[in-house]
Amino acid sequence: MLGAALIVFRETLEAALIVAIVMGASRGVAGRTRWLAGGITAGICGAVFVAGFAGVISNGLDGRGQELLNASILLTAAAMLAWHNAWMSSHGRHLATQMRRIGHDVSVGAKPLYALAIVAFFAVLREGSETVLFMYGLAASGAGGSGLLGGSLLGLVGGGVLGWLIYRGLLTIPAGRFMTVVSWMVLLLAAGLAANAAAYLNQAGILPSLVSQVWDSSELLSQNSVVGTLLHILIGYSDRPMGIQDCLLSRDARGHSSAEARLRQNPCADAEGWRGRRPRPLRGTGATVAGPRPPRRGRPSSQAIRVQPASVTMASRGISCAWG
Amino acid sequence: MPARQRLRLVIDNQDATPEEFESHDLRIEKVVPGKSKTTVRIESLRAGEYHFVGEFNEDTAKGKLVAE
Repeated sequence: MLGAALIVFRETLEAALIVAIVMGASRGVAGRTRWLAGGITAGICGAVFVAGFAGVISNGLDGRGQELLNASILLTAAAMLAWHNAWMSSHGRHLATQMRRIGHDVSVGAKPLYALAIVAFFAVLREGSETVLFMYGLAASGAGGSGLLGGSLLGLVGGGVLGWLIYRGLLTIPAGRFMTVVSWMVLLLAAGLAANAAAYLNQAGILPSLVSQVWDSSELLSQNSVVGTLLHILIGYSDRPMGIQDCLLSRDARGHSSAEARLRQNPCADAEGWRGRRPRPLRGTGATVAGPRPPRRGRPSSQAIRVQPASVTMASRGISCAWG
Repeated sequence: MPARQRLRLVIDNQDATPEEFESHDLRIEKVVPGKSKTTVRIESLRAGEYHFVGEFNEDTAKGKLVAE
């Protein structure tokens, strides 16, 4: 029973952690509960669906179906988080001001909510399908029956509660710092998801490992330990990472921070502007061809999201290499 | 298994319940539905021992792959 509880707990916690961060990131945005609940519900339905077709998926695409599905899910989630962070860095100042007002009835548009609902959907879909398969196996084998199913439910509740506690913990961060902290967590989460996707693509024989093992820190912090598991989900920690994982980890973090840096120069640009209609600053002059002026240097902007360039830190985790 | 060679492992799940073939040493995680086979690809291994488990029955389903 305890074994069953532990497995389901671990799967649930992975999804719950991601949902907790996404909830933190959408704090104070009107209508987010509906969107996220929709994403989670769709994720549960999708998980049952994926579990039902596990055989077809697993053997599809020359036996690479499962790996490719997992990798696409992780990469889409990472892209959605990247888009959200970029959007938030342009609207963060406005949102942070609004959040201080009573009622939190901010309506800043539902744009990033699509993205966040998709992230919640994928997180639940991926972890949920494994849980469904596991519980189906228990039910089908009839071994120990009720005790094992009871354990699974215990794990499900436990994972959910821990995720909720983490969300409550996030909320205790003062509003001013909140955006910075959440933005960092989203950044690291997205980088971690991309690194995990790389591992699946390698397993499918599509991406080379580059270096089969960059370091071995399994004695120091095992990926199987509680802290190791948490770090694996949150920042893509691996105790014996492949070169390709480190590449994507640093590449993704760098991509994020540079997209945000660009947006910070144009705080009024919205998601559409970011995709192409954004006014372009003239190189070297600091002037803008059309649209709003960039904020003056040195101006205090404690409410805006300030993300330091992360590439240096992330690259120091392993090898740094050019990609794409 | 020979070390330093590309490998294809075929995992045959012979009973009716699904299982997850998992190995941190090999960095593989793959669900295998009941009564079916699946393939995993391994790039190349240094000589050594690589442990794996069936995650859904972790206490009993254990094994290791030796590369030489």
